[in-house]
Amino acid sequence: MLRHSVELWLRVAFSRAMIRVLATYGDPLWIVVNIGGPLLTSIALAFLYGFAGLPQLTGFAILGGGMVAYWGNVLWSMAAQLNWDKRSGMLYLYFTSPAPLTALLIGMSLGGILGTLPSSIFVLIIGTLLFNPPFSPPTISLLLTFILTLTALYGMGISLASLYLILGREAEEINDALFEPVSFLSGVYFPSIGRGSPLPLALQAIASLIPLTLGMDALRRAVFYAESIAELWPNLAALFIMTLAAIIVGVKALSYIETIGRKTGDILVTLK
Amino acid sequence: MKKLLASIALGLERELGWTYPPLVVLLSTVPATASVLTIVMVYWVGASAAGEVHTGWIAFLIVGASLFTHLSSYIWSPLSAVSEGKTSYTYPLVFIAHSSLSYIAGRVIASFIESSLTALLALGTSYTAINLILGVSPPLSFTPVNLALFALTMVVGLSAALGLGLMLAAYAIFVTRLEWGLPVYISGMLMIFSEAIFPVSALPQPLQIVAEAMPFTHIIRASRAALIGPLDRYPTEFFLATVLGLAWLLTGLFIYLYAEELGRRRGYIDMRVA
Repeated sequence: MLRHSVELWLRVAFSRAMIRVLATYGDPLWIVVNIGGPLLTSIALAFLYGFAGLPQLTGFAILGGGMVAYWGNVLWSMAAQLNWDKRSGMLYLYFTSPAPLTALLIGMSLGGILGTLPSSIFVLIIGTLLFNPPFSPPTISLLLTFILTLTALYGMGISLASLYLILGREAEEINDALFEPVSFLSGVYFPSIGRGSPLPLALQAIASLIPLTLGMDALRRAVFYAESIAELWPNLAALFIMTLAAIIVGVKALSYIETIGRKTGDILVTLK
Repeated sequence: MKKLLASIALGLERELGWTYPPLVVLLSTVPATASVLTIVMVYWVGASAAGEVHTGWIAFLIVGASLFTHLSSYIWSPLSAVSEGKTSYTYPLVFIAHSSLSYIAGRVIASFIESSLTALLALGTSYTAINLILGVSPPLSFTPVNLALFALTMVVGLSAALGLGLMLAAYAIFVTRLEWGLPVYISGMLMIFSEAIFPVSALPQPLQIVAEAMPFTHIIRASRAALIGPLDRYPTEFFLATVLGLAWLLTGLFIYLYAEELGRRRGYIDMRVA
């Protein structure tokens, strides 16, 4: 019985991830289209760092361009996804099938991460070729920081997915409204917390509640100041806790929505 | 004119009518302000580390970034009008009614009205936020004369944005999927080539010529002359913005009308966006 459940969970997660992976890698135009925004923004901000008098910091803009693609993916392909599935009638299939919700959500996240990887890598490569910022050599702490940042970020995506389901049809507008403010507070392109942050302490404290903030801070410190796990552990521990909390909250919220939906019929209405 | 007014009303309904209008303005102003603040913080971090912070450059960035978010948000509207219209079958009906151009122009004007309000609010809120966060007062002048000159420049900017928007609408007639891909690139290019966040002189030499030929560069410069000074630069930049803006508008009109004709002959008008 347990073996069957585990097998089903893995198969569902794998299938959901593969849909995303095949959709991205099977259509190179999709990758080209997704590179544009982060790449050109990071190039413009790298020019600004150079103009401000410190070309060594152009790497902040390039790293931000590489990571902002994931934040966009979390908003558009995680948070809004179930809302779109509801509109297209897919959500009702999810709820009535034996597929575990956690497997669907984790599969969606894994597919999103793998699907966004080419955009992120292209931005980093092109930005590095153009501005040659001083990156430290890759280390285990960098890899761990990168993985934990993504898991925390996609965990937040799982929580937001359930929230968007409640909010109704305005997912696109909410995404538009959230993208820039969260990018600003998270310090995607500049240090918003800790060393070198221009923000007041109160704002830094608020920003620290966003997983992307802690992840970007740790990534910058690993990439540009070669800090090790011994120095980054508070960020990494917080990211780990945030990941678990976000997944638990997201799944619980979805189960609650599902229960309420089954009773009232609200959640399964296909919107025109 | 009646068609144009009807289209403006439709556009305003689409921009503001999906929820309470003040909420729409708030939801548009917050990201625009955050975008301006990000750009100023990038400058602040770089310049502080280099020990060369100048409040004049912060004013330069506030005006440039606010106008960039304004321009880049409404140049999308013609493309959106065509692609959404194709999905909902509105566009073929508009086309049959022989008012496709006034429909597109009306949608751009509606988006311009909403975006101008957002840009002005973003300018004010980012000025205040920078004052609070960084403790500096960027040298911006908000007298009625300065604001009137700034508003005049925004109106002139409408012709260039409409020209570019019509070119994107022409593209949208033929595209059946990922139609938002090109505007993302164009918006990103505008950030680099329109002097929105750094002077054209920071670009490598051949690229400076491209930037100087863009009407948006002169629109942003004229706006800066209006709000930061010196005011004697305003007439030249305003003239260049007007001439180049009209040239872009005429080019956009020509391309759009040609694309519409071609789209009609080849049956792209009612081809749905995937």
